[in-house]
Amino acid sequence: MRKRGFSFRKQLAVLLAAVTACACAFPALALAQGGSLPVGTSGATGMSGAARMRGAAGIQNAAEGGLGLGGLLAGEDGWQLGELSVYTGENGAQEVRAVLDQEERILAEPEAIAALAGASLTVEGNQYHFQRSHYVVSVDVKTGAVQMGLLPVNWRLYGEQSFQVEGIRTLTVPKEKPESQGELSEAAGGAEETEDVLFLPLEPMLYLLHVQWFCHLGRVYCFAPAETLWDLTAEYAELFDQKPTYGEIFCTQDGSFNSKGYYFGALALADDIDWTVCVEYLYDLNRVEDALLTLAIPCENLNGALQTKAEQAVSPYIGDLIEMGEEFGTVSGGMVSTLDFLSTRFTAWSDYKMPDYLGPATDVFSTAVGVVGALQTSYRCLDWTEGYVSQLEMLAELDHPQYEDACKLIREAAGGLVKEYGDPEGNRVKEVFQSLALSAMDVVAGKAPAGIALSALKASVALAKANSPKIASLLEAGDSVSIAKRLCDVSVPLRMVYSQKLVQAVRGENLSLGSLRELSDTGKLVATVHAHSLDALYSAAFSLAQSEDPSVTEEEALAREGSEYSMQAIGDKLVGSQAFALRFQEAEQYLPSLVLEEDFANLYSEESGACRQKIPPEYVIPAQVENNGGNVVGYQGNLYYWRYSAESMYPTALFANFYAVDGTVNSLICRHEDGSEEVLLTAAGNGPIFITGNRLYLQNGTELFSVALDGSGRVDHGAFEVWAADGETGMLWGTSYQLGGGVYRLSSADHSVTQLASQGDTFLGTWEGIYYFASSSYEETGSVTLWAASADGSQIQALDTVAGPPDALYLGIQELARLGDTLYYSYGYYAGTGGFFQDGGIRAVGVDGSQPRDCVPYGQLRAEEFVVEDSDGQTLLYYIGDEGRMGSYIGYWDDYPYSGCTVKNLDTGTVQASAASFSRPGSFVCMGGGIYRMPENSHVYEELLSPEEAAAFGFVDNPQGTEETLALISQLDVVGEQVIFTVDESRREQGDDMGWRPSYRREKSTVYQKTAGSSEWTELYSY
Amino acid sequence: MVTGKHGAVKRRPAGIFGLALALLLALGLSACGSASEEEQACQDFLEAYVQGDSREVSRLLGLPEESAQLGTLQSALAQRAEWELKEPEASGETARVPAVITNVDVEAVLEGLPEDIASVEEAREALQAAFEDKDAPMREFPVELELQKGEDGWQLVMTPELSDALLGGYPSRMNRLLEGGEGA
Repeated sequence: MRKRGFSFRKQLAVLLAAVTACACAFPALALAQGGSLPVGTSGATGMSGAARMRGAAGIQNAAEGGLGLGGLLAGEDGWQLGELSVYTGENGAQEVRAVLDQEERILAEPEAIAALAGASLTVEGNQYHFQRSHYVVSVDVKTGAVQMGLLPVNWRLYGEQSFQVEGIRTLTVPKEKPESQGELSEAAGGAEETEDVLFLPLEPMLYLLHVQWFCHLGRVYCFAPAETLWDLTAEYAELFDQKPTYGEIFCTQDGSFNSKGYYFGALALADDIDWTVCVEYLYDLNRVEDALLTLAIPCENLNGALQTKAEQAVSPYIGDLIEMGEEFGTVSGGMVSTLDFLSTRFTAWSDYKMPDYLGPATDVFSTAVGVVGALQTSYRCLDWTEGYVSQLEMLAELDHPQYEDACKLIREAAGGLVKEYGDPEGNRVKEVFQSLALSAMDVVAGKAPAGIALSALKASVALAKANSPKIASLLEAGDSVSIAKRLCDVSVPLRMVYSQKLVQAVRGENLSLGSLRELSDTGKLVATVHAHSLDALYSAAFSLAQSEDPSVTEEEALAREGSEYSMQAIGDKLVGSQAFALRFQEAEQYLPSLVLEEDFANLYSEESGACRQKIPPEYVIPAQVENNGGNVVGYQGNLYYWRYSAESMYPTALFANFYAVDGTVNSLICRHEDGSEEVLLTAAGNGPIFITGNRLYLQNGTELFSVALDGSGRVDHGAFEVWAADGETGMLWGTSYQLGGGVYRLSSADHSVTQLASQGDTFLGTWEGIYYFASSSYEETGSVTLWAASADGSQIQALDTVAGPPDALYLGIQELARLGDTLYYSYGYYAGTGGFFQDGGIRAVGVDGSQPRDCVPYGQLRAEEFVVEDSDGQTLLYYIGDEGRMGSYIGYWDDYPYSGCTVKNLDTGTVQASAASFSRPGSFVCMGGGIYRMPENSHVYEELLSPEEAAAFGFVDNPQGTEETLALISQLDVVGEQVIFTVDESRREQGDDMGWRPSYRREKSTVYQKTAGSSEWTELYSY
Repeated sequence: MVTGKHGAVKRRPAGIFGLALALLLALGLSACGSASEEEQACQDFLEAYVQGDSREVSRLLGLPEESAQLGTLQSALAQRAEWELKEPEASGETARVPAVITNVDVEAVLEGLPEDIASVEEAREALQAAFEDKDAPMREFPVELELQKGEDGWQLVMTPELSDALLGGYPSRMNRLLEGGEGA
């Protein structure tokens, strides 16, 4: 038996023959000749000051790095590798590798773009094909030429335009490590460190893939529709196949035929006739009007036994903004902004704003989620309800030359109904919508998006009946089969009109939002008319079943074994037709994003349904090393640290400061984000780790060596003390005892060492790419000079020199801080067995060396620690003056807070006592059993471990040496959001005391990792 | 007036007398007037329809090329069609040609199908045989063939009446049955 609808399908295929001519080669493109793309070289990463390591020589070495930390992975021709924070409903929040090219254009890898667009990616030579549903975007990465089309129908879209994407690059970047398979595994030696990676321009690609996005607080929120109108056009054959057939109509009239012979004969003819040649017979105007009236009320049979099947049919196609609402609600300004961003940006259905009476809510998350869903339900419901009049208006203008008489009849019938029902109580509809928005919150509870869409349909049934009681009563009395037949007839010219508009749209003829909307409306009307015809047939079929058995239920009737024309078959087509109608409705929201221009003139848009905000270049966070020079260093999501054993530390120590044993073989660990670890190498080494030029720089006592990121390729550099690693230049700054002191740079590229300055013995930190160091000298008295050097070492300037009184033997700069364009430094000297700060002062000088001056004159400073901060436009300096205390670097903890100090207003000169506590910026202190750290230029402590969290350890703020057991933190590193700290548990060892200095024996050290803001930590290992 | 049956052309008499007769006939026919363009278009369409020439049918109906696909039963019905065309009434770009199309009375055939037919396949076979039966009941369908002037000449407009005539009254019968719930 020949399938119905075949002729329409073939007819449409013939109409589109011209389109497919170009598409024969789709998606292949002839490759143009072109030169190779520029390749950037990988740079180095990270620049920071050296961390303070307990027990290391030169304890006055620089504090932890200050501002401007982190280097860039950069190429010589203006590109920078980094990460972009993105969010999609499917994958949630994540960081994707991105490139900032020429400080403007953002590039991403094809795989990342495909994921953001919800598309699959296939590669054929230079052709990269991004496919979502039927829609395909094919890019020739050599020429940048782009084609869009539909599969499997093989139609080319936007054929009248020529698209080209600019800025495709293949860059040499560090290789991303695969996830380790086991807990500890030996790293493969000699692996490639870098790889060539293709990057495509992110925004143009998302634009071509009809993705919408907005930017908020450093993150790009992306929304890709499950499908668009284009995908529906590719399923025109399936749409047409859903039309009711005469066989189905006749089968519900089985009882009307006097004989089976007549019945089967009628069926045989119905299927055999080519209805594109011959036309169905339309009866009279009144009958057509009755049929069109049924369109006012959505199909009721979908709310019964067919409901589950209907939900399943539409679920793959209904977009879900609720998840995004939940995520976005956590970072947005509350419910109002959540709804504003989502419901009015990504959806273009309605111009209704959020009703004012909803107001602020106490519970942002659940309410935002609930109201987003409620509004979606309401929008859909309103669309169905108001859509009836627009459907009548379309039918009132229906015209096709092949069906002139039929169209004339339909126009007259529809036109009459428009006059009668054209404005069916518009204000009342709006009122109902507002109340529905509230009640719909219950409707959406616990429902998947498809369920919500069908709930809207159900709700609109009641709404439509309430709005049109006359129609409702007419339907009650109507003849289902007659209605089904009339609507079947009406659908014939409708399908032809849809075909015409489809061909024009696919060919790109005068493509505009208006023409797309016409195509969408027509397609939805075709599906709706099919659905209503089948709905009437379904009712008729059920009535027929009930006439044979009055007690039969709908489910029982559906379950009966049926022929091709069974109630089940009709029900399946009803579900299919209504699914198409819902899909057209869903896709309607995103029509604005289908309007593409070959010059990308509308790339950035705030239009609802085509929300595309320019992504600020600063959203690409350069790849950088975190906590470079610390005991734990982070890079590309990995943590690097030395794993120690009992032999790694001296067993006893004064003040429980257990020093590392140089020469001990330890394991260098790389810990991945998923918690898996691998041993990069086992070697003699400990302490701070630097990363630059994709190499790890490690120390064994005074000796420096480096290895590649996988632990291979060891190079020994001799006696070199690293001060800082420079990511942009791939250089390390430091001093070389082997070469006689001074300031040197060690190249990660060729391992050469270059002297920059003959003077310089203390590194003070880096700010905004400028390196600061100090040199001390003695000529009749001690003096110290503050130096500044450019990152490439070409410019070195002495900023300030201060000399001490005649009795000052040695002066050193102890700490350096920068506030605005002014540098502040404390200077002085330590002496005595207690390591006490003897005397000194604080000076200020401009970053250009201008206006050097005393802030605290020599002799008035009693400790090196100070804090300078801006307070409401005033510069305040906190320091230890004549309060009766002296600073000392000897003690149990990394540092101790001073309670009470002197504060000087540097603008007014006012000096007064202060109860403020402060300590060395960057060092950790114990207060009340908790662990805290002071940031730069602020005397407000950051909490690292609250007293409650640290209670289990039993930290003591100020051990007196009488404690039998002690728990102290010996090392603490903050790497991004991770806090890694080592707790040393020790026991009093009086026999090893040195005078008044108490000795302890280490019993156990445990290394922990916690995430900032979390109260839980993970034990990494213990020794 | 042009008549036709299956599109066959009348045979010409042979020999000199035949030639004279043919000439006489031709003169006689010309005295009656040659077929107008409108009539010729109708003639061409109907001949193509009965012969199953989908290309020509599609062209004359203004459909995409060869989109017409007549089914087996429809073709069998088509081959039984005869017609008589009358004087056309042209008015600018449109024209009407009154005609009488004689075709199988499908309703009578359906009523005559055996009672024991139990499937669509059986019914198809029975209908095929009935349509090919020289004694099948026939019926006359008065129609007005509508034409529109296109770029390539006159094209037929498929009206419900023409459709009903070509299909032996099947569409109208089914519509009455579905609308009025009448028994067959």
